[in-house]
Amino acid sequence: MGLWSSVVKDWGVRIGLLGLSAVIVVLVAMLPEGVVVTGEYTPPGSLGEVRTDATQKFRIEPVPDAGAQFTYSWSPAQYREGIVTYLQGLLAGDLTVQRWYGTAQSVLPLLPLLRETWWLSFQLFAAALLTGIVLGLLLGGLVLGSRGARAFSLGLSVLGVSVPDFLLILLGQMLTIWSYRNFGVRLWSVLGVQGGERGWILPLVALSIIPMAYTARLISTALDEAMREDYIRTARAKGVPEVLVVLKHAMRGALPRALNGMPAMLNVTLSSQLVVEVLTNHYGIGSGLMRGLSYGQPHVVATIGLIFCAWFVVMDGLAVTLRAMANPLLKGGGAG
Amino acid sequence: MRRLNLPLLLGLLLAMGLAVLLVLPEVVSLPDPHLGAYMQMEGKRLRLAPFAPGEFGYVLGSDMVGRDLLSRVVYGARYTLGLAAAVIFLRAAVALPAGLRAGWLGGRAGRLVQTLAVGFGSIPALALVAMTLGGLRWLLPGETGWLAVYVAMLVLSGAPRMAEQVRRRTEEILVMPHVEAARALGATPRRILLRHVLPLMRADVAVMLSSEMAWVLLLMGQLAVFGIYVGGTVAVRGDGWVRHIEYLPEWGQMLGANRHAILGSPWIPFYPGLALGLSAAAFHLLAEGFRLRGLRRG
Repeated sequence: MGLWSSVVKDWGVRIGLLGLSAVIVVLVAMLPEGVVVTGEYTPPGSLGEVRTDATQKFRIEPVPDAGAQFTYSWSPAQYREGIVTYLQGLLAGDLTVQRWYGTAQSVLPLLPLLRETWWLSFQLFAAALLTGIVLGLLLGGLVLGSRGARAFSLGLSVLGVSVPDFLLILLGQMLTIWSYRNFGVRLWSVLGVQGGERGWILPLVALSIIPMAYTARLISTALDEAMREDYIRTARAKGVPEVLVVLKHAMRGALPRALNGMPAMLNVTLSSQLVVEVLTNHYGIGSGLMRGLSYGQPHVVATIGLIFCAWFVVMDGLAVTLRAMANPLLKGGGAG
Repeated sequence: MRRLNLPLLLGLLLAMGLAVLLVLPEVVSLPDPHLGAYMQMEGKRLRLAPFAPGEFGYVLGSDMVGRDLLSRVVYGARYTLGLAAAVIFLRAAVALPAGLRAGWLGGRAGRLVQTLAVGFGSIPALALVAMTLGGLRWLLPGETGWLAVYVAMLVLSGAPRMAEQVRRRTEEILVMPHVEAARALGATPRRILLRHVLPLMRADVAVMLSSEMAWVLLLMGQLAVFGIYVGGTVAVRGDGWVRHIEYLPEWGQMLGANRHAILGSPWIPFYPGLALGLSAAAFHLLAEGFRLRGLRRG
């Protein structure tokens, strides 16, 4: 199978998966459309109410059977109607949304809003990916240096993969709060992009850690293996300078291997982006999803889900195409 | 000279820390994690909760209604780690037999496991689980039903990937000479899988379980950020005020329900987030350490 037929097959599989994901997303996200509340309304998860005397110590205990007051029915007909209305609105491009960020208007067109939202997310994603990959390449390259540099590279990449995104954000926020309270120095904004340029620092740093750590690990492992190959020994024996040996020979062998891990890295980075956006108040699609879930707006959740799946499939497809182009011997490759 | 396996060492140290948290309430007397004190007197001044770390004897501070955060974080280890362990147990209970069977049978069964793994991998787990649970939460107001669906979704989101890893490893082991010898001697498939394949997977299973535990804890934390957690909320009503607060001291819930407090009272979401994040890191490091040990042993 040639390179391009392999690429076309990969894209075909991914577009098929996108179709499947789209169906699942719409069916799942629109579930609340079928709910008909027939009795007293209690928010889901509520365990009831405790009345306290604020001046005394009190023990908080849930009221027995508190959730039982919630009476509802789920109507398949209403659910079906909700899905049809949503799809019609989506195709006609006239979906609307109520209560969006900082706007006085009560009803706004949804799709233009989501286009802006996605663009904000894309800027963050692209900047973080680029920063992470460049830093990861440098960090991964340290594996060829001294023992200390190697340990530093491996240690940092293992830690980067291990420490969760939400912990990084919380640590970053605590650090800037601490420095502001103690020294009056605002390192970065806790509030995201609406905090000005400084609002980009924390989400960018937190989101670029994952691609950095992944790239460093992939490159260091691939370089380690490539440096043991016969052609490297031959190049050294011919007197080729070490820098050229690494850049021209070892990197060429290592890059396709490193690209094998790209789809997994994109998967984790995109998931992480949702969390980073919510925690740093970055008004991208992650925050939009959160808003849709919190305000019970299934059409917002479904549309963001569709955008997210399409975005993921395009990025995954690009990663697989790059991998195939870097090494035409790698055909297909599944989902990585 | 034996080389130091730093990830394993760090992972074990953190895991020991978690074990200490689990048994701490049995050896040290801690305040009741559900006991709140909304007001405290400081000289002639009346202070309202939340109280900062170090104030009024609260080592890690208090939450919005004056419950002791240290006590809640310590007790929370039981709920959070217990929940994650239950998810892993169920995932393994589904994925191990399915992967072994698919590896043995090959053909359609193998392709089915492979397709499921690719299908579930085509949407990032966080988005899939968040949207599904976000949709289902309105249909399941009761805590038991909600907990069951929450656990089921966490199990489902990772089981196909785990089954696929087991299937691949089973296929590798099945072509080994000792398995062929067992086949030639007429051993049943069940005996071959249990006696000759599974024992060779011990190292892989250790890596897999640690790694999956880390992913489950990470996913629980990420879902909590999206307001999806278990434990329920209680409306606490005083004179002229009402606060909707989390009930069970589960780390994810404590982080998610209080994430807006980061500017005013940052300690409230920080400590549960730190505990959850360090637990995930501990299991990631353990998995990395086990993998490294396996590589060094060849």
